[in-house]
Amino acid sequence: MKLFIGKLLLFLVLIFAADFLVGNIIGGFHLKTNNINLQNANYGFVNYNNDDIVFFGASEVSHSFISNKVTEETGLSSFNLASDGCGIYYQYPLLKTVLEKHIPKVILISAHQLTQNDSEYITRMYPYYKNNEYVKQMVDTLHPRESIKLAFQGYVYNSQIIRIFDGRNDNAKGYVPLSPRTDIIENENLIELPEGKVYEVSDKTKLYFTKFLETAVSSGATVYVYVPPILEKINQSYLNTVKSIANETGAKLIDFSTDSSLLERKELFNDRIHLNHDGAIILMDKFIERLKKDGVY
Amino acid sequence: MVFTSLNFLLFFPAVILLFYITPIKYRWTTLLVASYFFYLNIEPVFGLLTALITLSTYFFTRLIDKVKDDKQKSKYMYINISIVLLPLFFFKYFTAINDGIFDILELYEMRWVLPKITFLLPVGISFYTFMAIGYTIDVYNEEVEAEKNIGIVALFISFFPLILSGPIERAKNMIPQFKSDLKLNPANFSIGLKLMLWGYFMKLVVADRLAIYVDSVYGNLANHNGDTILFTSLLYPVQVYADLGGYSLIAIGVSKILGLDVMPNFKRPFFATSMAEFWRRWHMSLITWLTDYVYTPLSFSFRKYGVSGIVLALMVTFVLSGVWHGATLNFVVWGVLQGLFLSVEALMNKRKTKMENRYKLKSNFLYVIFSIGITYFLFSISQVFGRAVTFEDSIAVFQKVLFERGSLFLDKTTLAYAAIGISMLLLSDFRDEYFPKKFLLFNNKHFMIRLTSYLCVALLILWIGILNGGQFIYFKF
Amino acid sequence: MERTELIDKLTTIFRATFDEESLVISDELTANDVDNWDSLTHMILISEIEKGFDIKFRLKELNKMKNVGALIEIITSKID
Repeated sequence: MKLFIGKLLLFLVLIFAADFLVGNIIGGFHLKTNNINLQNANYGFVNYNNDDIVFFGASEVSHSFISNKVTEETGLSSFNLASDGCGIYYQYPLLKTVLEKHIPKVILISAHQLTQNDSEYITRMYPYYKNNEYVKQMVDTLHPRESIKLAFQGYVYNSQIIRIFDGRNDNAKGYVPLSPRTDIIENENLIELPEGKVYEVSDKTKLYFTKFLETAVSSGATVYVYVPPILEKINQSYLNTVKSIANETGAKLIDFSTDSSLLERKELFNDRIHLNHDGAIILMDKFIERLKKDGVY
Repeated sequence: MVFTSLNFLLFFPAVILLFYITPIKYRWTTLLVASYFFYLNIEPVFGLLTALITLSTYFFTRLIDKVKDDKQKSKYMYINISIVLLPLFFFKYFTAINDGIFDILELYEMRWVLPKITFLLPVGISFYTFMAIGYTIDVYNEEVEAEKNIGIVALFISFFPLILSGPIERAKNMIPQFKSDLKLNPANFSIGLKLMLWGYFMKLVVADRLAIYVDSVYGNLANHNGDTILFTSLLYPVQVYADLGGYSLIAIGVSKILGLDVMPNFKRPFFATSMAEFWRRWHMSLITWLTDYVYTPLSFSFRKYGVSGIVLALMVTFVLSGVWHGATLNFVVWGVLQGLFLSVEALMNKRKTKMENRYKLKSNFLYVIFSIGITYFLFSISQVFGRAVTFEDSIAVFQKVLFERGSLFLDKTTLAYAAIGISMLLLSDFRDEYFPKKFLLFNNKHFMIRLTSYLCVALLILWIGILNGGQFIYFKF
Repeated sequence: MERTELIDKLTTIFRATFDEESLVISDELTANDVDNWDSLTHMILISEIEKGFDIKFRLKELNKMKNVGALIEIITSKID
């Protein structure tokens, strides 16, 4: 029996060692990855370079906010920190990481974050768990047991291994342009918008969204809550929730949910929620105009 | 607490420790306590249900043995079976029957608005119910004597590795083992741990990973074309095999470590060359249970009808098997299809064997591949009814597959990971099927090769397994 | 009935049921040893034996037929 236990222990030690070794090697590749979403995460959590205008959110932001255009027109540095599929449990630690280094002039977050109630995306933050206290706090709050699994370096990169080597281009300061679809028919513009979804906002999501805004506002930055243009009739009670949260926290609302100059031109959208590059350009003009009106530049 | 939770990884070593410090004579009580602790941790109230089923089964099996008259014996047997089936019936089929009755009432405009009651299905209820019924029938058939120690009966019904999802064991195999001297020894640990390692691999690296892709297609049938749905449906049986097969291996491995031998549940099912053979390799504990306790008595009663009797017995057995899986039309169709395939096969069997013998087809490599392919294909067809949620969805699947072409939707990342696991699983089964003593890895005579293979599998689980809680298909059965 | 006579009669029934003209039965013979003898064809065999020997089996007895030897014992007990 003692021999068996000895072999078992050897096995466990070797697992830990091999995992540690390979995990670190993968970690090296992770930091140099060409994958857009992982690059954005790396930039935000590790390489953040004191940009003045930053955008937070998921794909509805990553495909709509053209950082370079904003910089051109305002003279202020800008980065699109949005990461596809990520909700507020990603944005909040990211904000705190950014604020620790530098206070931007403008912080924008998408109201659509309120509709993301699950938390599977937090795995994208695992590579920063060890060295970033905000990430650690967030993960430990959501899933107390993860810290045990995260002792394994390989687990940190679990399920991301292929993505790390899946390089794609078109990352311009976090902005990912969507080429306009060629198959959208003109006549569709005349079709009425469908009824909006009734979004259920969980208490926890609301709590962290509010925390995000409070933290951002108290840092001194100009904070915007962005309600994206979506091809549906927005649900009123949801919109009211968004408005009241913005009010309570002192953030400004920038609401495109009923902007007909965008919503009536379906060729600006690639699907219900994502503007393509043509749509993004128009959105940026409006956004920059708003920045000017609010005296940001 | 499922096998794939951290809680279990704490619970099991604790049980082993407890087991170790208990004197051999009382080790079965440790198992009983552990089993109730395990179950109460999942559903406290339903532990009561398990206890009640145990009491009833104990009481009536003792009566069956005591009484001399055969009519009395069979009466007690049927009473216990009814009592034990009642909760299963109630929890599983109440909603369906309730809805059915409401629909009928509505037809006659007699419906009152009653509150809709939803029940949580007690986990594992289908499994331990079957074990209790099997035991009762075995006592009646004098296969086994009614156990006098109620604790042993309780342990048999609630034994924690088996209670959630089988294998569905027999009293004849388990009770003598529970009563024997249970010892911990390195050989059992080694075998058990190997089984668990491979089981976790199947479940976490193959099943849960494939589920991501299959769910994304079946959860959104309207937006996928026929080609994608066809591809997905052909992959689904692998997911089920890895899921239930993996889970069963963990259960068997856990039992082995505790010194208990539990029957296997799967035997390389995808190498079957006919549906009949398939059902001798797939979910074997369920099928042998149904064969021994449903099919055999039925076909015996119908024997004067010759082949028609066999067909009828087959249909009833498999419809029952379908209904055991779920109270929906889909599962009934699933059962009917299995019965149909087997009946057709049985009817054609003589002619098929003649042809095979004449042309020596069985040793023809292409013929074997062809048979394996057809069998797998037929099974995939039936599994559509097992996966699609509603009957309408199942029909939609077949419509789309037949008429709607398009480009294949491939979640490349997920499928790439899945491919690694699937190829390892299939290669391993291939090796076991055709070269049983060769190319051994887990059982290689060289320690270094064994160690390296354990490491590779364990590391794969760590790096590409789904470790954030995938759902186990057979869980709410 | 003499044992040898019984075995002869049984052999005929086996051969007819499983369509194997050269089948030889022995006490140790089980379903694993014969092509086409499985749970599907077992009942047909049972039914043919009942007809051939003019006996009736009981369900309990089926479980006791582990091999042909046991089968022969049970048939013998029913004829006498």
